[in-house]
Amino acid sequence: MAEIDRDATAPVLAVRDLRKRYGRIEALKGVSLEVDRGVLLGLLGPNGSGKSTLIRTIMNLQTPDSGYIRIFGRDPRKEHSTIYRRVGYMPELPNLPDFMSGRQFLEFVARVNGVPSGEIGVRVREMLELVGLSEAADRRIGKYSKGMVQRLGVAQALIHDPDLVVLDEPTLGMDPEGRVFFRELFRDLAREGKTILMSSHLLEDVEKTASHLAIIYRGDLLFFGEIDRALSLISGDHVVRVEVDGDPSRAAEALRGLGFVRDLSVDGSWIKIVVARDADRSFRREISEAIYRSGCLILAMETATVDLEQAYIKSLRDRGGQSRGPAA
Amino acid sequence: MSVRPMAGGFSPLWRVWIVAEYEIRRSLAKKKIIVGIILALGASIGSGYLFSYAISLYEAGRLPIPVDRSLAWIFMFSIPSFILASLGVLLGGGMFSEEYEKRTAEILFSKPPTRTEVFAGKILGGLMIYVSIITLTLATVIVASHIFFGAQSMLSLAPTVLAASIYGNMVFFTMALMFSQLTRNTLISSVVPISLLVIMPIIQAVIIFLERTTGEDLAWIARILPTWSSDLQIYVIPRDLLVRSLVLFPTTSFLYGDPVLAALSATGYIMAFVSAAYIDIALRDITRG
Repeated sequence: MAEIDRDATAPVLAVRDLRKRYGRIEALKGVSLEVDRGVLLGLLGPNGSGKSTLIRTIMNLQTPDSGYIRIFGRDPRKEHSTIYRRVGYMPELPNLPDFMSGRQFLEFVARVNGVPSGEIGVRVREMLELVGLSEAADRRIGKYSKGMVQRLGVAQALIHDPDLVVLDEPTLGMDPEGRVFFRELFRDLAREGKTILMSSHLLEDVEKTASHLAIIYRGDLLFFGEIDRALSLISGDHVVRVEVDGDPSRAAEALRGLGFVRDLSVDGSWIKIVVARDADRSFRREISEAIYRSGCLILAMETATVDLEQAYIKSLRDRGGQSRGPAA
Repeated sequence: MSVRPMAGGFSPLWRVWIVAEYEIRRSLAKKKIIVGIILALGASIGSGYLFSYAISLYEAGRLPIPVDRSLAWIFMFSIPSFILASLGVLLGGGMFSEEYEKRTAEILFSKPPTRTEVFAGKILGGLMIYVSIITLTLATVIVASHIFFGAQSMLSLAPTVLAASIYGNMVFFTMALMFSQLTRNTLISSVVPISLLVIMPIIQAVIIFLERTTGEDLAWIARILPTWSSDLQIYVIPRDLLVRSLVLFPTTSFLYGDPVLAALSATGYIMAFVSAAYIDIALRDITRG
């Protein structure tokens, strides 16, 4: 009974001060987060940021140097089988046993996860149908395309109806139609009360799927919270760089009063202005007017839309970016 | 779309068995294993045929070697011994390394079976295939020897020879699986044990030669090599039977030894190799490839 109580009250996933080092490289620098039931957490970060290390440590494939992980309130290192029976995992660009057919592989995964033998056939058929592989079910995985392997990877992560689903770049290599379908599927699963941890280096994937967002960069958790709060901070900003003749600090002061200016920094005679993505198209004119009112002249103006992937890192780092807290 | 927990529990043994089944399927999908099995059976049958032909010449007065036809099965089973040992190396050598090389380890080790269960299951699966291959080879040898040489005698020894062959071959099987886990490289884990299989009998032969020419006791050096214990099947056959069966001895059989000592030596090697592999799999990160 005590274990059931522990399960019911504990967060589905709790990570505390997790550290992992590969030689001189510190892959995780004290990552902490808590994820509750029904949350679809998007784990965002560029390649090499530590997303996969975090996921692989959660999946007990790697041992952290320090810190701990609890899944359903339990220690996965001590209760591996009990815990991972309730977890579905899909690695990044999964390589699946090429000597099996898709059907045989799903049967194996169902059995190894303890799906009752009487239900395996039905469950396998359902999963094959769900991911659109019914016709290729008896073909060897070695003959599958990358996209098909990716779909089978999702199916094997879901076949035992897990409570926690961990997906490392699940839509990588999928066609646009497949990406849309799987995003919708993951959202549905979260609505059913499943907890999903999904990593991606594509903001778009996370933006359209997740309820919560964690941003990891160089092993640091830069942001953790609800997606709406994150998107209001980071998405699709424009950056305007202006060279002024006059006192740049006075120009900067004037610019701070503009509602669409989200961030601003001065570097010599140059002012860098981060403009909210939803700013009116006339923001350039308003910037020019504000600078003119401050008594400065504009010598040069450059405008660019920030690459989304870089935007969330830069803006958060520029902000001093440590915004942490448990997901609601 | 929910799934109820499995009735009757979800025991560690059940998980080990599922992994063993996976390993059997994986091994049998490899062409080199199938080729090895065909070679082992072909060598047994082929050697029987060739020797029956040679003996027919002897009966015509051209081959003056005394032969006990009823013991041909012992001779015939010694022919594919190198192939069988190599098959053990191929089975053990790819057991873990191929999972890392093909990047399937992540999937396997993230499932409910613990690392210990995966380790046990894979060894069990590999052993089940290996035991089946050795048993099939001996059965083929006995049938073929009946066909080529007539009724066979001393078949009561066959179970002992089979058990000794399996146990002796486990030395190189476990050596290969140890290298497979430690190096995570199939080429190294196959080539190193096979090289030792070839080189060590030569070293043993040199040692025996030196012992006989110098008169010094050097045989103990040869007896601590793993090839000596892996020849266990030879030591369980009474020596006079070996001579009568016209066995073309492998070099090591000049070191005809105490089967109990050989079994103990084999046990030591097997335990050391399995322990090293287990410690590594238990403690090391499961890398992507």
